[in-house]
Amino acid sequence: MFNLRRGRRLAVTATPLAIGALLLSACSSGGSEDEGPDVDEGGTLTIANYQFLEPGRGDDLWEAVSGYATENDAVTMERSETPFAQYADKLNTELGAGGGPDVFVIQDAQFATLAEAGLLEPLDDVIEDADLNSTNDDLVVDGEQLGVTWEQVAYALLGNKNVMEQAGIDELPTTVDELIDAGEAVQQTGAAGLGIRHQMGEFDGWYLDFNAWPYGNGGSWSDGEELTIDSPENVAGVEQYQQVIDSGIVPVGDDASTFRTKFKENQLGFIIDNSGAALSFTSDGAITGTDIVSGPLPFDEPGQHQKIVLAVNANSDVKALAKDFVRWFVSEEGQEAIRPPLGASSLATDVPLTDEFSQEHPWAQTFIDVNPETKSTLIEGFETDTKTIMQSVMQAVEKVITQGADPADALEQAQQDASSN
Amino acid sequence: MVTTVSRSHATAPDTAPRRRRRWRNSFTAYLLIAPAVGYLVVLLLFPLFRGIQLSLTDTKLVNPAGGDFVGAENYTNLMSSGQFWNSLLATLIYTAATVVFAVLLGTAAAVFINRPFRGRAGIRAVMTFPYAMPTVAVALVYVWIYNQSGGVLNNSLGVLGIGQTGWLTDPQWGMFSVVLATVWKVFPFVMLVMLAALQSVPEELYEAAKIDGAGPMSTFRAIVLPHLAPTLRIVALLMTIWSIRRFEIIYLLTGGGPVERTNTLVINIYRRAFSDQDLGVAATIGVLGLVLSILVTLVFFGVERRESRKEAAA
Repeated sequence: MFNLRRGRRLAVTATPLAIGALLLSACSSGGSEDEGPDVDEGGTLTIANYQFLEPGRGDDLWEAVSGYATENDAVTMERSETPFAQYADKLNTELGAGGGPDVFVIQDAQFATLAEAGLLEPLDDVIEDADLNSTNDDLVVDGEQLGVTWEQVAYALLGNKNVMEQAGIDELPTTVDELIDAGEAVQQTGAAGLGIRHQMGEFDGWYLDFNAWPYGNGGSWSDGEELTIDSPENVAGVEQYQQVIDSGIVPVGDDASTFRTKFKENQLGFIIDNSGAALSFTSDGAITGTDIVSGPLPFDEPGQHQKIVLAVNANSDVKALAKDFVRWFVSEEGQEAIRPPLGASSLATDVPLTDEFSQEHPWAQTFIDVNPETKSTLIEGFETDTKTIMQSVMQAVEKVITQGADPADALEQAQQDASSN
Repeated sequence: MVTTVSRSHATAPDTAPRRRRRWRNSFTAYLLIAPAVGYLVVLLLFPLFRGIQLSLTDTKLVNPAGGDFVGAENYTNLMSSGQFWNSLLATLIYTAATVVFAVLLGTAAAVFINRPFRGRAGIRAVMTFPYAMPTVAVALVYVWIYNQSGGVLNNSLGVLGIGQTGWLTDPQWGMFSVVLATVWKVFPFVMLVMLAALQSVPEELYEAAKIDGAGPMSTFRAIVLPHLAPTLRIVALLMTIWSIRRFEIIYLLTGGGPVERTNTLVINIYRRAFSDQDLGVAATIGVLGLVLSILVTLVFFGVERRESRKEAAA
């Protein structure tokens, strides 16, 4: 039976809660139309990039972007650094709350989300004179250029020449079966075989890296209109991934920073990674560029690329200054400054590798060669939902490699989960 | 009696000044509690209201002011989602296992270090050490210990001829590994509290038990345990609430995996809010987690009241 006194107490407690909840719905925030002080007046410009934390390369990148201050001596440049694992979450939270850095780099999946939320400043007026290449085309949203390519990084197979020599391997494997054989040969020397991400704790990096396997088998996650997660090509990719994990050549439990360090320390034979990571191996001098050999991914079809986008905060207090930085970045001077630390990536304009860099880093040419053929990690037609869909996919892959689930069944389940969300 | 009446008559003309004085006293009192009330409003009630409000909307992380009211849709969707129930189950398993093992180990350790022996101060300091360590450092150390290919645990087991185990990657072992690391981190708290409680047991009771010929187990059951019971209950409550809302060590060890086995409510909130960028659903899970904590607290107070009645009756 309903107790009147208790009911009254409940009402007394619940009423302020309800009133408070309703009052809070009045809270709001929005973007600003104000461009801030003129470029000549200067100001403090904050630039956020997780790559600034990379040993060796981070400082080179900062030095390159700081070149803008030589052109505009009224500007004070500040770097904002957050590790990759927390970078997107932190930036989304800051931007959503109306704050955040003035200029930042973002993965293309995050770009789509931020563009849809109206948090990116249009850059059309500052890129007019730039000779942008086609990598920038998909950064136009509703007729407005909301970002420019910071770098487009492709994936390739890398080998540690010192480890390979010790195992008696002359050439990089070109198929998955050869890769397993080579990995096993390396293991005989005491080093580990192949470094790849394989744990949910690294979801943000894992789903980007994993695309190599289904894409390499001719798969994709959608046909532009419908999700195609459980397509035969994708199943074949997961089966090959499982085959490699089951072969024992992958040091299971090693996260990316651990297996990358092992590669640099001559304790790992092979690695499937992007050109940015490849350059960071040589940045602190543990191994040199000539200790690394590179080749296309060991699949029949091309793999993926990660596009990293440079964008301006629509809520920045120094919007004019931030946009002027982008103008400088896509100019010949800016692109030449950023070319060396971005190594073998495709940039916003077709600025070539220097001869000096190519000689120091012979592995870089593979990335330049494969880049035009690679596919985006964004899911076509579902761009803003890419991460959510990939959560379902990677949970399926995790079931396959840890529980021995059937790849076809697991991807079918992922297809159902992703479609119902 | 007469005196009282005359005094009341004498003070009657002073009603206004008395009222002013009373008002001034009340005002001072309100002024003194204002900072505490302000603190609670800003840091407790505001987030609570905001959480409840968000749970009734489809708010996204990148547009926190742009969510539309969706009523109870988030709640009904969650209730019909298998993932939510799995997450709740993971929370209950993690909480129960952590509380039981931490309380048992902490109490046993307290009883052990309560006895006089050589080097006791040093042992006490060493046993308190895990609690003083930052959680992030503990998680990183355990990641290395548990590493499947080169971790201390598998290498040690390898020496004994036992094969490699995926402590953090095998769904069979994920929860066990996380609970083990958590218990190692938190049991010193239980130990310290129980040690304080043990030291409040009067020495005469031990002597009386000894004279009566009671052995160590009977002494513990008849003398020590009744003294420890109220402290045990409050420690268990605190450990339960802390376990329900624990994040860092679980996230750093497994990120909610393998295969969702350690995807507790708090990890689920983080994933929904940041990976899916769905603040509305994340807030809904938060509200349901709050309900779970309130239920646990109500059960605790129910048990506490029953025990008080028992003691009063005795």
